Amino acid sequence: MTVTTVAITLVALVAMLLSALAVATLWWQLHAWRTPETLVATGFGGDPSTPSLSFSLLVPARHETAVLGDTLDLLAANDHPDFEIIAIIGHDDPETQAVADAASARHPGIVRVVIDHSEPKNKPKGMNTALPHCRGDVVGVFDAEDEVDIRLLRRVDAAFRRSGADVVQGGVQLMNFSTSWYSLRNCLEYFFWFRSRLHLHAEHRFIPLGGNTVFIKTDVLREAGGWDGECLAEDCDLGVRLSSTGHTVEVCYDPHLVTREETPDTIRSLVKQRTRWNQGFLQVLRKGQWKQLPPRQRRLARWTLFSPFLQAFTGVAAPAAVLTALVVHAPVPIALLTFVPMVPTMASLLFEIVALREFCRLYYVRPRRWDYVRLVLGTLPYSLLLSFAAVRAVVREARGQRGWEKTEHVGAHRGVTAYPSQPSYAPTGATP
Amino acid sequence: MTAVLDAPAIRIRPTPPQQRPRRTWGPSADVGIATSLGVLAAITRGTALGAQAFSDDEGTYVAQAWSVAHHGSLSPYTYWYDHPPLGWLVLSLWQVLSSPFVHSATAVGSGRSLMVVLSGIDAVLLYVASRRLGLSRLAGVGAAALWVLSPLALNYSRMVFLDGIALPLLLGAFVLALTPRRHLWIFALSGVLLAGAVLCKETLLLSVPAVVLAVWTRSEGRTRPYCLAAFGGPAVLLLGFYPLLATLKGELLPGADHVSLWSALRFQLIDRPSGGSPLSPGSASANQLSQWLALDPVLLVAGTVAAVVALRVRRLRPAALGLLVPVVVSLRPGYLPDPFVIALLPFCALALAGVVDAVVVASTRRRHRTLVRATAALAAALTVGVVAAPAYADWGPQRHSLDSAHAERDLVAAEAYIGSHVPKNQRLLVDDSLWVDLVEQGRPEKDVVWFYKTDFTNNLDPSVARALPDGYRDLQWVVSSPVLRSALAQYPGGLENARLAIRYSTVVATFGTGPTRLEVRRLHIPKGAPRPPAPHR
Repeated sequence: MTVTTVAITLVALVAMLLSALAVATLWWQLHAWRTPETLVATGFGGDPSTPSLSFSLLVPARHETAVLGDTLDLLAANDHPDFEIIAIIGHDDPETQAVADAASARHPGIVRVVIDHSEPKNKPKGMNTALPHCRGDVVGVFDAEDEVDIRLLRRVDAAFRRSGADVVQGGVQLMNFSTSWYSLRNCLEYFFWFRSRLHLHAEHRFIPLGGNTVFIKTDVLREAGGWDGECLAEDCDLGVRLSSTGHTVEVCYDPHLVTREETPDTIRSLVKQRTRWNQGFLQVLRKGQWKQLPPRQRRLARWTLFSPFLQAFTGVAAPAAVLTALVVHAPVPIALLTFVPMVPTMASLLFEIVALREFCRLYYVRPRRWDYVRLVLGTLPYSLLLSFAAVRAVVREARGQRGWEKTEHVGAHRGVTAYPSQPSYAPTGATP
Repeated sequence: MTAVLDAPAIRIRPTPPQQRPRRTWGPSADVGIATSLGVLAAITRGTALGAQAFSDDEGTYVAQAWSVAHHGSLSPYTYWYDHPPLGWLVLSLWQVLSSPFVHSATAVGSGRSLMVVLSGIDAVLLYVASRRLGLSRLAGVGAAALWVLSPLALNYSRMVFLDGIALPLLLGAFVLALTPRRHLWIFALSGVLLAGAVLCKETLLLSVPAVVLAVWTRSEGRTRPYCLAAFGGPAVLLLGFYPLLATLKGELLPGADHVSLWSALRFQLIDRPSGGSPLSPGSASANQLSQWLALDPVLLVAGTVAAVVALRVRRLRPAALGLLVPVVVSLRPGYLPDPFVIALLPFCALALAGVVDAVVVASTRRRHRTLVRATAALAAALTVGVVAAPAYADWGPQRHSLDSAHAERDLVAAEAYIGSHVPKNQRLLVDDSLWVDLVEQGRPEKDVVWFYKTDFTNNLDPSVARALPDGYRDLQWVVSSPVLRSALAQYPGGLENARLAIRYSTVVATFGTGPTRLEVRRLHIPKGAPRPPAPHR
């Protein structure tokens, strides 16, 4: 055994590990397109013409005067025969309350307002406050800036009846892919997450739920004790808890029915948002409820909760390994080995290009050549950004910094500008 | 509003009935048939394995594989990018893994044992491919039998050629691309295998369109772009490892004092003496073709005509393309390599059996017009094959012969003689098929010299020129083999060192008789013998 042999073995092991991680990530990411039959099965299904469930839609809002009124109007216009909307407003936020009250007056019997007195305020605590007021068979969650399709509830109703599931997760899509270089990648992350990856999670019966467009049977939710008010990823936590107690989740995606959102408006807020999700995942990991699962799902849980960190790590480690080998003039076999993880890494870039094309076709926007260039050039910087957020999350969790870092939105997804930038509860969950 | 949504958002195009395999891979009958065909192929190849004459290329690849296993280098001489190295990396792995089980008298003979195994796999894959192209069981057996029993296929699939090592990868890629499940990752695996095939032998790039067409026709609608990406992405990235290897070694572009991928490609594509078109009588390429046709006049010609007919049958088009693209490219003047035919023959068999199958299907559906046309075309194909090919086969010398003397027996005897009569410190000029065996006798590698490497006119290896500053005068022995003699005849102006070595040597021992004999000759260089040709770059 020479030094070279040892070095080659070591590099080969690392290269294999990185490649395996990258391939596993691709495997999950590309689930929906596995076969034509799989793609069809990701839809809602069922018969939407005979709705039989009743819905309570929760809309937590904090300092959202600009967008809340429109959101509530759009929700109230839904074509389902039996639903109520509960706007959850902080007691210290009279401006937003005025907007909610006005909407309630416009839609009597549909929009109600619940005042949340909890301190410090966050989204899960607000929703727990509203939970006793829910009268529907099913509780749905939306964020204050969400643009919800008016046909959605009938389809969700049908999906519940068709599948017999306890939870239905609908699609959420960031729309403003052309706003900035990172918004493009952010949109694609959501696309892969809701269009594809979540379906496989549901199939394997371990799923971190999204933060909105999620529908849970009211009695199941009450039985589970509502949301964890201390967790930064309360949606993921709820999904894990429901999975652990054997409840089934149906994920449905129809490009026409997705809830439309916007990306964080600055890199700073993107990093904060991502840090919060990662930290939330860490908290769920530490809470350890997933340990009650059977072994197979337990492994899946560990993999799922770690995957944001692994993904961030491989995105940076693969090119770093190549660079190191070139800089230190490693022997040719070693240098070749370091290029192996680049194969799945580059292949995933190719799939992103294909996905961008499909995204644009589904949502009737025309991609420009420049968008593809941005997609390719943004790969490494975005990986660095994700890695930074991953490290930051670990550091904050270790230091016990568990406060909410809020995401700002400006309404870019509505094609409307000049919304005042207000802090709000983020679309916290939706966790690609 | 809901009325719009009631229609399914996504529709799957049903596979057209004629394209759908009547029964896919799985039922036990198919497993049994495929296994039998594989065993039959292995038996036909494995019988009298050493009787067939050794080609110089076989020795080269065996020696390069040996060099990988023993020295971790890609060649005993400088690796000059003659071919991508995956083929002999596989062979090297086989040498290491099979050494406890396979005992052969010569290194090339043990290399051929790999080809026996691969031929078995080829036959299985050929049958599965035929089923996935929609052929009936009987037609599938016919396709595989054509390949298993063809003397041409038999001859070439026994030999340690890179094309032969690549063939199961190509057929594997083709079979996977024809997946009835249309699974994304199956297409990805197909791309990986295809890249592997091309990394074994670069000429298999000509078979790529067939596999691409198979992926295109099998994948569908909304998932097709993803399937194409899954197929093409890994394939292209893996192929990139070949230029990457050259780049990392600093040998991508030509430079002073080193070989380069660029020069090698230039040599193969531009500088290599053209053999003319196979269609111009008397050319080297025409000789090559006639040698193929001498072994089997039917399969190649009838298969090609059948492939033209098969273009009209949608489900057979990928197989037709697998044959017609390389055929059309090889018809233009250029260098036509001896093993080129290896990758064509399975597609000949598929096209021929496929067209027969299509005729039978048409007849049961009472489509008389189609039936008449197809039968006429097939009859024409067979007539052309049977009548024209033997005539064509008479054009050239017949180098390969299945019933030649026992090549390996003579080789073993010659090597034994050298082992006991040639001192270990004396230098021999040999052809590649002896190289590994003589080195394993304990001779220094520099003292067993490939005769081809002493041709400084097109030598791409500076190390040989350094080791033999005095050319043929630095040699004590030369082994004159059929390979050496035919090379001297083939390059009248070249191989001067080998030519002079023969001229200034006398026969000490002879093994075998006639044109396949091996002579061990000792050099006696008189004063005033000509200077060796000066090495030049």
